[in-house]
Amino acid sequence: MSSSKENTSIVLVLHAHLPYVRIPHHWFPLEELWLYQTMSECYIPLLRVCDRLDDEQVSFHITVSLSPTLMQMLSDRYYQDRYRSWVKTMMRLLEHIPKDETAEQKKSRIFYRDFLNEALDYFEMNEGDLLRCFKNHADSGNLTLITTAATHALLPAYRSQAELVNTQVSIGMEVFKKHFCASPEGFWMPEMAYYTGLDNILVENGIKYTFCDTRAVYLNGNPPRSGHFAPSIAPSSLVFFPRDPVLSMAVWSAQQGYPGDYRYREFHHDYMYTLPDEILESEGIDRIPAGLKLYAITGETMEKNWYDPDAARQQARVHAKDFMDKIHQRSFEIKDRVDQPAFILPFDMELFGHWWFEGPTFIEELCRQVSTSPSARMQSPGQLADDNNLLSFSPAESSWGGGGLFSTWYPPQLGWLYPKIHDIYYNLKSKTGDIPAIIREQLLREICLAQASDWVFMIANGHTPDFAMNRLHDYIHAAEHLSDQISRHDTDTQFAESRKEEYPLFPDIIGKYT
Amino acid sequence: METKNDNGFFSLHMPETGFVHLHWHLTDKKWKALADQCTCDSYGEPHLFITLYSIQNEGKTPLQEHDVFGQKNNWTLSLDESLEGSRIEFELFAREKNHGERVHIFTSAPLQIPYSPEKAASMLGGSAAGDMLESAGIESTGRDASDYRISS
Repeated sequence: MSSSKENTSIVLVLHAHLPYVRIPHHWFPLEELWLYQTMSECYIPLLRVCDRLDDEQVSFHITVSLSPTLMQMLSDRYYQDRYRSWVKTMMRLLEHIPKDETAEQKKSRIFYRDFLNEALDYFEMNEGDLLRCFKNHADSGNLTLITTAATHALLPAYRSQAELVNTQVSIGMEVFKKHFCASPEGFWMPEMAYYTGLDNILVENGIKYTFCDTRAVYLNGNPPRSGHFAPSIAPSSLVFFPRDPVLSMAVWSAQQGYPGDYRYREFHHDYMYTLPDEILESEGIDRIPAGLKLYAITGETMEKNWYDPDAARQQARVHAKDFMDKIHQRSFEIKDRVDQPAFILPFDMELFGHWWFEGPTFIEELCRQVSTSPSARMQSPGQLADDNNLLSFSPAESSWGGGGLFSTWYPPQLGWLYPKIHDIYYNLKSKTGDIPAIIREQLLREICLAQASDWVFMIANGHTPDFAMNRLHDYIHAAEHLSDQISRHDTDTQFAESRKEEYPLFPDIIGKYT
Repeated sequence: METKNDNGFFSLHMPETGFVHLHWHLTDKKWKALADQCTCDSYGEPHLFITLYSIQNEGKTPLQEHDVFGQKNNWTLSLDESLEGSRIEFELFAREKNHGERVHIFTSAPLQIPYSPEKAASMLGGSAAGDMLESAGIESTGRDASDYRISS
């Protein structure tokens, strides 16, 4: 039970996910660099934050959701080796001293080179096994680890094929168990997308709690007395933790949120565009935004100052203090309604470090602030669910996307996508007969790869839409080919085997679900 | 609810509260059986229709009926505001040619249509829950919470 003084609970949830990208025939493909950049800028810095807080015996707790595709990539030697090569290449590029280098430029360049070097040192010190680092902190009680759907599918899109939804959930659970030797109690619904009946599938898979948008609480017309300031329990017995949009937006908002401060590192400008051709040629790397970001946000014009890490770090601490004040203020505002509020703060983990470079510093300082606060404490969802007399409610269908339902993942140009996946999956499940298992397995793998909500999001929002559309077409065409083989009783396994070699997603798991 | 069966499948999608997309695919065997047993159009294809039901504890009430067609097709139906807060489902039928009786083909998964934030606010107005809904400010934060998403 919480003490009478500590009347505010904070559940900080960081959801780590990247879609499965594997392009072995290219050296440093841009889309694989997403992983390597987030390893250096986000996952490793956050693990180092946990290490420091643990070393200094600062009491903190963070819930970390690790997606199955990310778990596979982080544990795969293919990516680990490429990560080493990328970091070393970036560090060599930063050794190049430009003509007329200013003191500010030098400071920024040397800072980032050292930053990468420290990330690589951490990686090597832990033998490249970042999942083990997460597990160590879970074993120490600092982190609660949970997972999500196999390939981050928007589950409401498949409500009519409950078996396919169950496959996404079950594979996610199995991948987690493979890496952590235990089943998670919590589950992150991709895009916080909830539909009526999904909770039953989660409960059948052993899940005890999930996180939802605020709309899930209020838009059913009969919210619990505690509103969205406490977890509530659905008739299925699944516990829902609704996020607080007001506190979330202080961090999330690209316009008014903390990450837009002028002192922080600029995300969009890449130093790669200023390096001389001969430097890039000597490294055999194209002029792509490989992740050398040495500028500060500065302002809305294209003129950017060099990044000053000291000023930025200091500002992150100021923002953490401001956020802590906002938590206290919010507790005060609602004290007449809820005596012991719980603020659920879920974010994409990649925001902290990759997009918002100073995000890990912000989290570290926030944890320190909470640990010394007489009235607040960080809690795990499991603890909070056990401590509370949970009120019942019926969650409303919702997501954290624009508009609160699912329209973000239904852009007009992809009207064909979900019917196509339904058709192909129906063919897989309805056709029996003497078909080699590898064909059925690879067909399900292609379906899962196409289901990632990331591709649709990228297309709908114009983030690398061509790449996302190519991925979708590639997976769907392969799935159609394999589905056609099943219909024709074509037992040639060559195509399926070559596809599995190219995209070995969950190689020892997916075949059980065909 | 699993809607897959030997006859094909019937799926539905609700991107927003204002409409649903329905998609069905009937197997050749089922399609031929319907053409033999049911009323058909001038092309020899079975007349199909979709009924929208409101589901309550005591049963379900038919609210709308829509003529549709095709062995495999996609259909979009508008849902008016009066359905907010309702639990609904759809059924696909043909009509038996001798006596005109309905021939059931599929029942969809259920949908629980959420209230709009405005309607929820007016329903909860003055209550503690209404105050908390107001303090959540979900109308003003109806943006893409996932603006920050991995990319370079």
